Amino acid sequence: MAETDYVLELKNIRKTFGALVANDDINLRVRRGSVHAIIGENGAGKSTLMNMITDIYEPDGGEILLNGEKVRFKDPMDATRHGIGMVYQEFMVFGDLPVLDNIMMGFEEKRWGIFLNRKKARMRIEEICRDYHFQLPLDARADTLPVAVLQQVEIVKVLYRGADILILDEPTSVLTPQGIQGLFEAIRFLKAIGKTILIITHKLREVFEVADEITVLKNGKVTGHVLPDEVTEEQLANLMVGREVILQAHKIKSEIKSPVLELQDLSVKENGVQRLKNLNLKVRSGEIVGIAGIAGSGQQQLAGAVVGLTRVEKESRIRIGEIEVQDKSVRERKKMGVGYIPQDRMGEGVNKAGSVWESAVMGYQTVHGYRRKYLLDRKQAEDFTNRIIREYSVKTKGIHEKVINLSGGNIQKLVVGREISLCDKLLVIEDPTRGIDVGAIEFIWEKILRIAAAGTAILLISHELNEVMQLSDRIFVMYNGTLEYAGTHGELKEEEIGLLMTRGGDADEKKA
Amino acid sequence: MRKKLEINEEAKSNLIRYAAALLAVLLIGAVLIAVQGENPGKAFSEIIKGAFGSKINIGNTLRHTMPCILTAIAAAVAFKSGVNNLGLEGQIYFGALTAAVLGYAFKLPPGVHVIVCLLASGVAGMLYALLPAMLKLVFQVDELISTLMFNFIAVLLTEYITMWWIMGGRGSDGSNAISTPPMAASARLPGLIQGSSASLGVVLAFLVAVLVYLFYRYTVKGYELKQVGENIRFARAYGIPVARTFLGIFLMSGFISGLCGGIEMSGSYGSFTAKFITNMGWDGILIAYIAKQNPIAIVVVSFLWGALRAGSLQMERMTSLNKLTVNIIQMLFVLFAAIDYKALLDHMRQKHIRSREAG
Amino acid sequence: MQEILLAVISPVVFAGAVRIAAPLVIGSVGGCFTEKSGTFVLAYECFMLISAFFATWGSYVTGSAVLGALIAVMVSILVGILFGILVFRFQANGMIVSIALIYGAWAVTTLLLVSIFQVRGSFISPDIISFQTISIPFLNQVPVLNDVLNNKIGPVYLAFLLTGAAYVVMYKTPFGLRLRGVGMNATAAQTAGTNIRRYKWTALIIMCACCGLGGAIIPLSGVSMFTENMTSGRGFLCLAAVLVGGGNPIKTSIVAFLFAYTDALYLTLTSFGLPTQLLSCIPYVAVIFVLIVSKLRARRKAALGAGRLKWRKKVTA
Repeated sequence: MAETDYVLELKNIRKTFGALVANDDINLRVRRGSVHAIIGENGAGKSTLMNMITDIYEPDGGEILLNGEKVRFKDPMDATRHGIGMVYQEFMVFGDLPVLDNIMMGFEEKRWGIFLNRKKARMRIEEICRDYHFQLPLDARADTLPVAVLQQVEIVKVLYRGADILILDEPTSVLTPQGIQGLFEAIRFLKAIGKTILIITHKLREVFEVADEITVLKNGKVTGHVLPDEVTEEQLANLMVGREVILQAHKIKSEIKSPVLELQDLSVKENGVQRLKNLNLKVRSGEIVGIAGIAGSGQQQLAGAVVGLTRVEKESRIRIGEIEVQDKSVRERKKMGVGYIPQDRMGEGVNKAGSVWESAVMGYQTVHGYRRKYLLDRKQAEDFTNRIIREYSVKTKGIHEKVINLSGGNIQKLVVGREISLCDKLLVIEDPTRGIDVGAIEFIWEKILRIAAAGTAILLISHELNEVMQLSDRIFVMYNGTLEYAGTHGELKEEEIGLLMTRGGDADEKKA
Repeated sequence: MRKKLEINEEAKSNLIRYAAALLAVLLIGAVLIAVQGENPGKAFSEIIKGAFGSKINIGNTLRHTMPCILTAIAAAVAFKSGVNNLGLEGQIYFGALTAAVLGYAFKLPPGVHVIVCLLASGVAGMLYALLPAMLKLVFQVDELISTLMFNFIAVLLTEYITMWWIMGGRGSDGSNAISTPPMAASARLPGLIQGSSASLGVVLAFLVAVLVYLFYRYTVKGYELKQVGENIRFARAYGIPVARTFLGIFLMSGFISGLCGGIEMSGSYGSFTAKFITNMGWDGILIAYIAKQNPIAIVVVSFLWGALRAGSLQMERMTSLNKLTVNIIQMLFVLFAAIDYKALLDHMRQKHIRSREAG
Repeated sequence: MQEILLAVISPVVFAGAVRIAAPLVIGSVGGCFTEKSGTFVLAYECFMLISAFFATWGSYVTGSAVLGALIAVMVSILVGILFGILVFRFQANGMIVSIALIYGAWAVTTLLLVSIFQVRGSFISPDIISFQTISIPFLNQVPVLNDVLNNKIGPVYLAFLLTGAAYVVMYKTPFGLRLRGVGMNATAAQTAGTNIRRYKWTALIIMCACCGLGGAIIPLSGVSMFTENMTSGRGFLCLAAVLVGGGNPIKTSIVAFLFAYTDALYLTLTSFGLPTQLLSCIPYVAVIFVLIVSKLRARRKAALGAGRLKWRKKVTA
């Protein structure tokens, strides 16, 4: 049989979930030894397609050809055995185990047929690391490592399993600009050695940098198959969403007045670890202060300290208006007009087991108060909920529907609506648009800008650098528990801020 | 409109659950009885006769319904807010001992005496629940395991107190002899139905259930407690004082359990005997679970439980069957009611589709 | 006072502890597997009580303790399969199924006691054959150890062996690695080709077999009787040992042994005229005490661990 040019071919793949057509007649050919990008918005069907290649789902129709032969994998392992390795967006990591055990899990080297042979596994992994220029601390526990290293662990893992085709699902979403460069270097290296790489992403710029070929998905269909030097970013965006995709926030000029939030020597220690070190920050009325930084630099502790969830050190002072609040409870601060939109909206923002109204009125019962103090006024609660649903166009069957049935974007609108309606003084926002569709992002951005213009002070913490840069009046970068000023709106370029985020010297983030 | 629709849907799935469980239990129960060489029809009819056959029998049913309601409410209050209080039995023991001691040791006017005894029993249960609650709050000791241990300790400790403090060390280790003096008449709850063992206690239990129902449905505090139970991080992030709530829930649950012990003394036993009950706490936990922590459903299931208990005595008298057969039937009912039938149905449907695809 | 202290550390107490520890250690070592595989089982008491009964019955009928124990293990596994079907297959809540099984085990054994042996309370018969004691010759020479360790029934030595074996399986074999992987992160384990359901089932069967053996030892260690509710909370002690030991077989066994030791104090201390009820409390109080200590240690460790992490980051920077 002649060696085919294409290592992987998908023919007329179709997949439906009930009424929803996730993939409709998809044709895709991946050239051996190339970097092939599959781009599309959230919900365009990228992940479904990849899950069919690795057989988490079974296609309703169509066929998959590997090296020119028709294949149908029995389970994900079967795909692995055929040389397809997937690096998931959510890393498949066992936090309590050392890196070595993480990598060999499921594909252990054995001694005498029954015992683990860690020595042999270590030798093999070290060989892979040498061949592909990775440096991994094999004995460190996985949960002590930064994400960039974990991603390398995941890549080495699929190589250890003998993958020839690597599928990377949104690999850059957790990385800093520098981390992304490191990843791309690794991808180029893998390509040079002869591996085939499939990248799934929704970020256009990256595609141009690293991909040899691009396939665009929209609403479950292939809308284009192009080479990067044939198209412009705008054309690609058009194929992806049918309109300009690079989101542009339209900042409204607002009058910045007196400080609402003042942090003075804010320090937080958790389990003996200093998470925040003597932060000083002012957020004034009508101003959006954005905090960028790589995940885990202390952002969570900052938000927690301001809303009252995190205990602060003795010398720390937090003032809201003129009042010192570092010893006040969450509830007391809430009554002063402090709103909070948490990062984990499902886990912290709502009660997904309860109905929409229950999540909608949270905080209302004490902040604005019911007409009756001890009894729940259902009428009033329902009116309030209906108002949020109307004003924030939350799509729901009604106020008694369970929150868990709502989409991520609608849940976020509910949370944003609630906090904006309840709190007009200070709003602490963490990652307001993570994982929601473009329409909802625009909507939420606009609401945030609008209330800032109306005089609310906003502390915006986001891991999406673009978001911070678009919305903020002043930008700070958080690094290892400290804050660094990064200019006013539009003053610094993305790369410059990116450099601040890593301080240029963090070895963990740099590809060796 | 919509609200009604949704409640109906939930009720429907619950109804399916109960019906399926009941059917399965009747079938297996019949086999169980037949294996022991008895006619299942006769056994079942004796149970029903024993539970509802006469005014006295109904009274007995009600008497056995009382502890079921109270323990189940105590469990439900805790579970609703995510507190795994498995220590109901221990709290009952201390409530009972306290009521019994106050009942014989003091002389008070009739009405007042009962009330003092019952309130004190609740407080005793509450204080006993305070121990695991504090262990959790101060040391993060999981209350699931600590309350289990406190159950064993309570049984032994109440026996010790009765034998060494009250009886002066005279009792022998055979536990039936270890008992407090009888309570004064003024400390006893009036009977409800002549000739039966039902007392006013069942009415009190019912009132507690109704109060708890109203509390969760119509008060701000009830709303907050529900949020704490369903998503504690959500509750904390928006200002509900979680630690205080946890403590409050634990104490409330303990109070109701203790009250149950007190009513058992004032209403039925009249004096505290060591090891006077077994598995009463488990009963409550199981009922609370079957009833999905809904106070009204708890009353219904408790009544069924009480009827089975009362009926089992009659069955034992009239047939060669042991009354424990009914306990086994109750356990089977719980097991079948614990099955997630909806998930099962979905699973089967999916399998069906898969097999059709493959074929 | 001094007398009591001396008695507390006397070889007699330790000998008693070694004897009492066997069912606890074996049961909780089994529990390590379900704990590590991420299945919440509370029903140790159920498995142990049921198997205690069937061990009695089996030994009485066959005249062999080993056969009796085998029957007990089989029955325990059957009950475990029921648990597995309800919880794994039918998605029932593990805690409620456990409680119902505990409740049911008491009713079933008491009922069977009446219907098979026609007695209430307890069944005593010389025909219930206990395990043979094993005498290890070379221990005869060693003064204290001989009293503590020698001339015990077979399962006591088996408990030591099982602990070691469980440790090796858990940390030195692919099976153990994957089992722990399943408990830690089921999706990740799945992508590593692990059949989650099979590992959870295997862990459950191991646990039931161990609890079955542990339960069987209780009536077959020389008492030649079965009494209603014979396990009297030993299953819960096993659960506590597993939770404190975090599923590590060696740590768990040590904790289980500690509970057994406190239980063994009972016999010694009654001779000093202390109230039996208070003495019976000791193991349960010990559980709570051990829980507090283990939580405090975990907290300190977390602080230290976090500190270490920071230090490492600094070095690489």
